[in-house]
Amino acid sequence: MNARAILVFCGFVAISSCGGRTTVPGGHALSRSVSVLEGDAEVRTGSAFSKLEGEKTGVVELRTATGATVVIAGVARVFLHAGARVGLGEDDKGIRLVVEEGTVRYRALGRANASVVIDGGVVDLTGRDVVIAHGKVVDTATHPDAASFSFAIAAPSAVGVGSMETKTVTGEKGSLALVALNVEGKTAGDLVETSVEHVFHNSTDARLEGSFRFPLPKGAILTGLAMDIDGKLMEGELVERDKARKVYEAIVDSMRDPALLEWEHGNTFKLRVFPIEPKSDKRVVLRFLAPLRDGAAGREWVYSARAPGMQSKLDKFSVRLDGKGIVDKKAWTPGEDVVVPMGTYSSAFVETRKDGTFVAVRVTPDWSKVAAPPPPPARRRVVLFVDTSRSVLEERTLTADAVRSVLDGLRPDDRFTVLTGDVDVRDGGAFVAPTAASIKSALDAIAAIEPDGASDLGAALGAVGKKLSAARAEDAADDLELVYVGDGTPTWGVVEPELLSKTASEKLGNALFHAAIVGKGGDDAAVRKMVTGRFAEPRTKEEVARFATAIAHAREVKRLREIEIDAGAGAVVHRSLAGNLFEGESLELYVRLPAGAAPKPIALRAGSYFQTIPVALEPAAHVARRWASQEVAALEAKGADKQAIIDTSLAFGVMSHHTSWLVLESEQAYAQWDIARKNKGESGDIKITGADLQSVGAHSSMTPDHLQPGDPELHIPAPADARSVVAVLPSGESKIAEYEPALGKWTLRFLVDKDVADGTYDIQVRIVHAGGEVELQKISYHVDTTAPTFAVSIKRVEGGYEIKAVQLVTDEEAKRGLPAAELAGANLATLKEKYAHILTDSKRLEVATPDGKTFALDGVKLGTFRGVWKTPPVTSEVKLRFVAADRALNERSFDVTVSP
Amino acid sequence: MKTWPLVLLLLPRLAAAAEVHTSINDVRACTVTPQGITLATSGGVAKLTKDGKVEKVLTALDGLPDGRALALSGSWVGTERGAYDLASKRVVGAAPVRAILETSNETYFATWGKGVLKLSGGEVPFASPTPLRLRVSSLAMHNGALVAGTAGGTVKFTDGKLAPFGPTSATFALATLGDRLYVGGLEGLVSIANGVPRSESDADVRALIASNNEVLAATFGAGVLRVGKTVTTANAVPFAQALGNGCIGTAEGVLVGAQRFATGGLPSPDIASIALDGAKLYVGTFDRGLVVLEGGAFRRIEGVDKQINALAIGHGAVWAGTARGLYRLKGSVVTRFAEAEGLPSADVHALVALGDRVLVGTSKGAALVGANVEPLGKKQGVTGDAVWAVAEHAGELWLGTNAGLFIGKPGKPFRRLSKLTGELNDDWITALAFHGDRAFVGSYSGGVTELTKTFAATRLGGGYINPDGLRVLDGKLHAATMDGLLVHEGTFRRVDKGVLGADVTAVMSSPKGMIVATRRGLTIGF
Repeated sequence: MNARAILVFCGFVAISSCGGRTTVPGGHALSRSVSVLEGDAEVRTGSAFSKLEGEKTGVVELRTATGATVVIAGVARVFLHAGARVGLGEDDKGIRLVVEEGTVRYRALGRANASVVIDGGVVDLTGRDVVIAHGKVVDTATHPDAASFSFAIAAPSAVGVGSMETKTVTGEKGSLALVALNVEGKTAGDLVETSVEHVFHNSTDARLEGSFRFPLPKGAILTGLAMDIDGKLMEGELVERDKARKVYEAIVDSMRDPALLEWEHGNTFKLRVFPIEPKSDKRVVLRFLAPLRDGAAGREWVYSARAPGMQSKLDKFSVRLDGKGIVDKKAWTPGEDVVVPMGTYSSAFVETRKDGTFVAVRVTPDWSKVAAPPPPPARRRVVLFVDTSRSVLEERTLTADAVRSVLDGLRPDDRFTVLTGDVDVRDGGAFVAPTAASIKSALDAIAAIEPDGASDLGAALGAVGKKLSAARAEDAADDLELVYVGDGTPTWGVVEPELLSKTASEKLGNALFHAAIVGKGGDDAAVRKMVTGRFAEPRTKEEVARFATAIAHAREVKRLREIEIDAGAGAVVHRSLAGNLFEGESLELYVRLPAGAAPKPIALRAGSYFQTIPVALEPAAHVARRWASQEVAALEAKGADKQAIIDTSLAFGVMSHHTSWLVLESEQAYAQWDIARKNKGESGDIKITGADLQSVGAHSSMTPDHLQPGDPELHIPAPADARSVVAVLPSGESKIAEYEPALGKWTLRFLVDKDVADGTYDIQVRIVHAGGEVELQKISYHVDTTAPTFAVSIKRVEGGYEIKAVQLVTDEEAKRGLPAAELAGANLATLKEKYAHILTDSKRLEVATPDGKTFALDGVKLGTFRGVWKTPPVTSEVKLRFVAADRALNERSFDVTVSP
Repeated sequence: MKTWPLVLLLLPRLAAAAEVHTSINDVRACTVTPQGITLATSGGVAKLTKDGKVEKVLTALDGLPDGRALALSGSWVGTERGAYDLASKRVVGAAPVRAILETSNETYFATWGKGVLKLSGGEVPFASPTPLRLRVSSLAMHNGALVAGTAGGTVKFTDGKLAPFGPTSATFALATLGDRLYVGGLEGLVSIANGVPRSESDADVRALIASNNEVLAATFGAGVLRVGKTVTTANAVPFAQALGNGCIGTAEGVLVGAQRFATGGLPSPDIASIALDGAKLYVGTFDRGLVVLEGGAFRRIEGVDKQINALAIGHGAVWAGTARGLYRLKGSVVTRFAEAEGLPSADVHALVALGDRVLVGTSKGAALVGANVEPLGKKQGVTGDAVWAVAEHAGELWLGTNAGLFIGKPGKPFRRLSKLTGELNDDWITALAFHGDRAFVGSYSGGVTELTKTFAATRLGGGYINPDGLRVLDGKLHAATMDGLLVHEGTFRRVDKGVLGADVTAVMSSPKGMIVATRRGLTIGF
């Protein structure tokens, strides 16, 4: 995503083509030093770029390939998105920037004069926190999503990409390599139905049990899970959690392949899979509804593919949206978001169901009617209160991240102090400046406390109040703030929300109260009631960074407090944001109206602000689900009856902490365990099963399938009430299919005689529907009695010999294997490539070594196998024996000589 | 409707104990003469009296090139492997003959795959032969020219060759009435006169006959049509596939006038598996269900899926492995086992009765079925998916899979013998048999391998061994293969006596002699 700041004119402040020479904005190189904080950056001080290490002055240009945070000493932090390039200079008016390429965030550290040249003009950056992209400058305070990339540089998260941890039957731990990631998106209103296919590869000789963990993007709703079982993608079902776990554990010892997906914590989910066979792939597909993000230039679909802690390369990565390819990479290095601009979108959607009318509305207040806040004080005094009760034990890392982010967001003139508390409150000392040393000291002090005990919020408020009073006494002009990081649930002392709210009012005065809720809190209603600033429930480092940025600008932006919503009689309303609504934020309302009720305009009140939201609603899918997702969260937050949560979860197909996704091996297995099927995921294609005669009953693809002479089955998806379904076979025989209620298909089986030559054959199917309409269909299958041949190369590597084998498809095999209609007049080489997925049919390649050991080579891609024979160098010629098998179970054995 | 049960057929020219059992219900062609009714069926050529009593059934044992008869004309029979003259015993061609047309100076044979043959020799040339056009299913003369209905449309003899003419979709049936040609196929019935086509019906027409100045069409799904009208016969005939003078052939017998003649014997000649329980012979067919031969009559067993793959007798019960589950028949009680009961898959390929359990091979692994179901598979290191052969030998279980042979005991890792390890020459194991301490391992296309106690291997050959197709009878290894019945006496030799078809699916011994099951029926005591 490249953007250029438009050049002004030569001789002024422009970089790039000006008679072929570049000039420095402002005329002079930077006198202030530039150093890198995170990532990798290059600087140009003369005629060439060099890696930025340490501190450098005289910088005229910055660029980064992968993203970086750079500090201009005493001036600003500059966050560069991957691929960004910035011209730097200065003159008597201060620091000048020109964004040559990409997206940049400029966050002033103080009041040093600075400006950016953009779109023919100069925009002041003094004291501001802005994002510059696409020729525009937007304030981070009101467009926090535009700065998301900057949060990621500081705090990359693994949102969107999962990781598979494994263990063997003997308990040895490991991980599986992710070899392919394929993302398919389909717009649905203002959401994108996202399907992410993960392909993992077990290259070991051991059978593994896998735990697949993945975080969902913020606001996403998990809607489905599927797993490849014997070549067929089985869709999972949402089941009550205890039952799902019981079923999983009951059958995990058998030959079946169940999978169990549970909500672990926050927005992290865990999928258990067993077994993952040696030398084989495991394909898992996750489906979720992803909300669009507000970027600098409008709404965006973002697929976040950053993956710290995982392998550095994926064999394949692809992203498609509405059928169009966005990314299609081989040997891809994770590290960037995939961002697709989506333009403008309707903001109101409706879905009508038997159980209600559901509305999703995005409300953007008319901020012009909201009074601007007074200019914020020059200096912030922040009291950080960190909950150290038992319930935040599992979120210690996130808590530390939140503290670090908040403190990093302070300017040099600001001051902070840290209090920690559970049943007791510990005072961290006087307010100090946010230096590297003081921040480290604060973090160390927090880390030294083992979270334990209950939470006494009342005592915490009292202690904070004392701190704030002391701060007021020192300098009444300072901006006072309380930032609370904890689970928000009082479990000791005063616990009633009303009383705590009153205490907060008394103790905090006009100090802004921000809260970041982390941990396994049961009820944060008390804190929600007290918050006068920003409220967030961050689940990732990126989200805490966003929160920290938001609170840094809280005083600068307009806000609406104590918002009331009226959506009519009988309406159940949920909102995307609790607490105050700040300029730059949108409020999403999810409304359920009684069945048959027509949506009416929604009234929004916040103090003296009033807005009527019209309901020009666009029908869309998943609106009910979005409401239900909020309903489930609300039920869980208030500790509602577990059954009510389960019922809602199952009725709407949204996950809760009391329901899990379960994938079983077959439709019969679901029936056995009395699990109703809502997500069969069947296609309407005719199928030939047993096409390779190795697993009749498993569906195969509709294109020519590979089989040797034998007796495959034909499955035809015609309605149960069809009058007749007849198949005319290539042998001239006709067979009448019978309807099988258990399968929901018409089936028959037929014989492919031994003497049938290799080639592609067509079956014609005639369906006479209940009303007399005749439907004709055709399905092809491929008879293949030719074993695959390979070209094998063997080379010495450390510890052994690397074996690589590539299947060769001869012209003759191609001619036999392709339909005659395709061959006529076509270039055979082109056809071989086009139909590689049919012709390249090798399935297994095994090796026997001279000492009698055997192993299978890994199928690294279609028709290519690789493996390592671990052995010292041979001292004389030895023969390796290979056996190759294809999908039709044709086998070929051959020997390859290894020479010293 | 009057149904005449078929009496057990005993062919007088054979040994008194020898029995031939086939099925003549699937009628592909029929003719009615004053002498009686002749049927071409998938189980042979049947001669019936006028009142439907079976006089004789001719099979491959009587010289037919193949027991599946597809066409009739005069003394000619079109079979799956060529045409046969009952009078002269002459054989023409080797491809399936689906229609025969006798004219005043030539006899034409419609073959499936080899075009149109002439009795006088050679083939009728095609102007533009394609694989589809060479699959001929019907013949007629129209305005003095030969017309052939093929899988690639209709062709007519013009300028010395058969050239495309009329409909281009698959044609099953032809008839002429006056100067109008009637062409019937999957997409309906069309008639052509003076080159102008006229749509007559959208029914799936399988046979046509011009008789009494009208054209009758046998259809799949719409009964028998009188072109321009629908005939309602006394017996509803939704699926009619053949028409003769005065007879209608269906898959469930023949109608002559208002009478249907059908047998109560084997529901199909295509036999997949057999099992002997005392005097009862259980016969499982490919897709027409399970029957039992007892006291000279066949009785259908209800409650079992029709696609039988394997049969076994054990623990006072009959076990049927089908494509849709394992069935236990004990008295009148039928119990089904599938995934819900713990089987790895409902698609059962193989069965053997053990001490107190039954060992079952399915498309997704094996299992021991007794008081409960104990799966055997990946946990024991059995890496093959489908299990096609099962046995117990010397205290160990033997599982023949598509990835080799696995031998072991439940709860412990199985040993694998395969092509890779050198003992076998084909990993797709279909059959197992034992004699003393020798094991015989049959494979899909690699023949039989003999293994000693120490797994030293000897290749015996034998070709394509059918599932459960190995038996040691009278000390000799017999192999049921796709190329006939073989017996090993130092080397394999083919046995033709008493073998009804080339694709032999089972062989076993009985008090009455050897039972040989094929896809064309079974014989006992040859």
